[in-house]
Amino acid sequence: MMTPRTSALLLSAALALIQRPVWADIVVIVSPHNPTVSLTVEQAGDIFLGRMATFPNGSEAIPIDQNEGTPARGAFYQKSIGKAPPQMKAYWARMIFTGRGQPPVESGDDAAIKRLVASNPKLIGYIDKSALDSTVKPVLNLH
Amino acid sequence: MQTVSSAKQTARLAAICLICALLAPWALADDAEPTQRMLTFNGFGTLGVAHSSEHRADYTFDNLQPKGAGRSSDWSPEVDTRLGGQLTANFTPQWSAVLQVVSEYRWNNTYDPFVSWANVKYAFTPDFSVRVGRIALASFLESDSRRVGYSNITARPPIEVYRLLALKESDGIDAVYRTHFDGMTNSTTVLFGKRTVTNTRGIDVHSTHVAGLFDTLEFGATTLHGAYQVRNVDNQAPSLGRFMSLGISHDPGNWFMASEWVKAVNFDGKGVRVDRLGWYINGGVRIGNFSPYATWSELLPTTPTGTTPAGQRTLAPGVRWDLAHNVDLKLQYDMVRLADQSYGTLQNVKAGTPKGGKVNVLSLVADFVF
Repeated sequence: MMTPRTSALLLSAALALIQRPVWADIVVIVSPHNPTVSLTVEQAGDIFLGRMATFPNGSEAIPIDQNEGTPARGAFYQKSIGKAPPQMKAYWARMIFTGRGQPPVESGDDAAIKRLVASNPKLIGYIDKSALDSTVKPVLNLH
Repeated sequence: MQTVSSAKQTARLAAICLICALLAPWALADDAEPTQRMLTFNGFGTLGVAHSSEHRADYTFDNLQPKGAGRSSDWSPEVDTRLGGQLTANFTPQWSAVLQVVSEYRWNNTYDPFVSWANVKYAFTPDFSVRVGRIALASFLESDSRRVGYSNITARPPIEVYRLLALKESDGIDAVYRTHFDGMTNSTTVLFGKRTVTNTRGIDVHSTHVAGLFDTLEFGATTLHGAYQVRNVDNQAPSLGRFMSLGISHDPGNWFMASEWVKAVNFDGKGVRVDRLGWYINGGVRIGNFSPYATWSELLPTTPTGTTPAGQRTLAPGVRWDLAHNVDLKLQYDMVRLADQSYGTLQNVKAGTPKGGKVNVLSLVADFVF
């Protein structure tokens, strides 16, 4: 016998198959003082996965994350690396418990990320495209 | 002997707890600056039960577990249950340290916690670092995260393959060098050390001159891994033990696969060479928070040893459900086929049990990280 709860679960699982979440447009940003002009999706992905610690010109790159649960964070990782939040969690669990790395520091929402990135050329972040202004430089668009 | 080492361990654990307690206020101090915290505490664990259809023998993860599912218990928590805690310290961008303590079912029939890793790392550059202390051996594709169930898809790594090397850590030194080219990242590790592992008979097996070369190549969603390892083991004659592995995993998001081939060449106490080969292939899809998967794995003894060669193969379908933040639930059904004239990997076999045949194992595990 299938309980209503089980049916609901199965139904939501089936719906998840059909319904792809609609993600917002995301821009990857650096400080205007950073010489980087553009990044490829792979380069941005490698920096946020901790595989790469530098910008293409060789200068130090420190990625910063939006807080867990923000729409921009989910959209960024889905579009750049193709991983949903639980998969990113599993990825970092593996990295942390092998001593190979720590996830980017959680640094707030669009406004907080912009503020931090604007003044520090080492930082790289991502924000919703609608929040983009001249205080930061976009280096990659993710549609 | 046992009491002494256990007392020593308890004292060590108490010291670790004290250090944690003293440093806790530091760990809580969160800077507004986007810098890594000086100290981070992370934990992981698995609560699991396994049930076997064979009541005359035990199904265990490896031969370091004295009891398992089947003969010793109907529903065995021993096979998969564990709890781990890890303290990571970032002193400077160059200096960092890792301490990991794990409690899991052990050779002496207890869950006594032990130090699984304790090492200090110095990064000369972000791509070149040296570690000194107790270090995880990267012998397998998933060997460094084998205890962290949450980071793996299946209930446990395929036992036919992962049991081929009981040595999981080494005390010594390693160097990691990372290069980037054409969107690929390659990490090469060279390791040297030693380690003692106690088997279920209470005998200390000493591995010395452990030397390993490990390579991981990552590009996009694909990872390639290779390992070659040699060591001297004091319960073998000659003492040389060799281990090699090749692995691939591909995980683009909606589906995933992994496959690994492993060969272990050892000698028994009488000088007879024992070659064992293990391999598996695993694949599955992600449907919302559900990941149904299946694993085919096989253990093949490739040289006649005079004694009964242990061989078996398993088909294990299962499903992982990411049911909540940081928590997953897995249901797995292992259909194990023992090689003819063999008990496969079964332990504690009751006298008179027929060899060969089939064993089915049902496992339910919950993994968490914090």
